[in-house]
Amino acid sequence: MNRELATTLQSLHPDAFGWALHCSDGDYGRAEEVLQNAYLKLVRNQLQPSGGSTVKTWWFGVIRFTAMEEYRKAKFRSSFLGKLISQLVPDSTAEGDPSPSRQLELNEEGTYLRSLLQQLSPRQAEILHLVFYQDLPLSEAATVMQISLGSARQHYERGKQRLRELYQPNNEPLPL
Amino acid sequence: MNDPDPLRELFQRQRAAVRESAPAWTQRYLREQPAAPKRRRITWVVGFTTAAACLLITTFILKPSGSPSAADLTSLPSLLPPTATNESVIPLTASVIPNFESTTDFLLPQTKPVIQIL
Repeated sequence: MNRELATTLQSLHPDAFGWALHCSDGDYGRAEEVLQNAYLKLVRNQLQPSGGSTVKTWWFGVIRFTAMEEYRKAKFRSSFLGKLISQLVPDSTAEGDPSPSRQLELNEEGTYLRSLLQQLSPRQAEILHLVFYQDLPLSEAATVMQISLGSARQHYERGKQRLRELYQPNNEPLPL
Repeated sequence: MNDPDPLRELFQRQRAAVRESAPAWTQRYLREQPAAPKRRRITWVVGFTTAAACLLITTFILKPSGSPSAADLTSLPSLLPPTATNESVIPLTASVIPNFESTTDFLLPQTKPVIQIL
C-alpha cells in the first residue's frame, strides 16, 4: 500500500469507525472487527481503490460490504452448527483485548438516536447517517450504498421527514 | 443542505462522541500480518471428519434394505408358517388354470374390441 493511501485512511479512521458502528447496529465490538477486517483486505492486496470515486466513498463501500460479511458470519455462529463448532473449537477472537472504551454504549443520546434510526428502513437510516453524520453529498452516498441518485434522494427525503416526526429535541429520550 | 438543522446537530454531536471513543489509529492496521486463520482451518477439519464418519456409518453399520446378508437368507424358511412348505405351494402355470392357454393369457386377457368398424 502506498504512503498516500495510508495517510488518507488514517485521517478517515475515526469517521470510518463511525460508519462501521452504524453498519454493525451500534455493536462496538463488531464494528472494531469490521474495520479490522476491512484493513486486512487492504494489507492482503485484495482491494484497490477504484478510479471513479473518491477514496472516502470507495472505503466506506468496502466497510459496508465487510459489515455485511460479518453479519452473515454472526448469523452462522448463532445457528446450531455454528454453536456446535464453537463448542468444539473455542473462538480465539473472543479472547482478545477488551474494547478501549465502552462510553458509547452509555451515551444516552447515541442510544436515543439509534432507537430513532431503527424505526426507519435500513436504507433510510444509512443515507441519513452518510449525509448528516459523514457530510457526504447525496451522489457520493448513493455510490457508497450502490443505488441510483434518484433512489437515494427518495430514501433521503422520506427518511428525513420520518425522523423529524419522531425526533423530540426537548423531551427525554424515548424508552427503548 | 448545510443549514442549521436539529437533526444534523444531533448526528454531529454523536459524531463527536464516537470520534472520542473510536479505537486509536495504529500503524499495525496496515503493517501487521495477522496470524493464520486457525479457526477456519479447524472448521474445515471438523467438517471433513464429520462427513467421513457419516459415510462410514452408512456404509458399514446401516445396511441398505435391498441387499440382505447371507444370515438373513438362511433364516428365511424358519420364518414361514408350518403349512407353507415347498410341497404345498402350487406353481401358477397354464396346467392348473384351464381357462388360460398359456401364462401370457394370464397377463393379457383376451377381450373383444369395443370399437367396431362399420
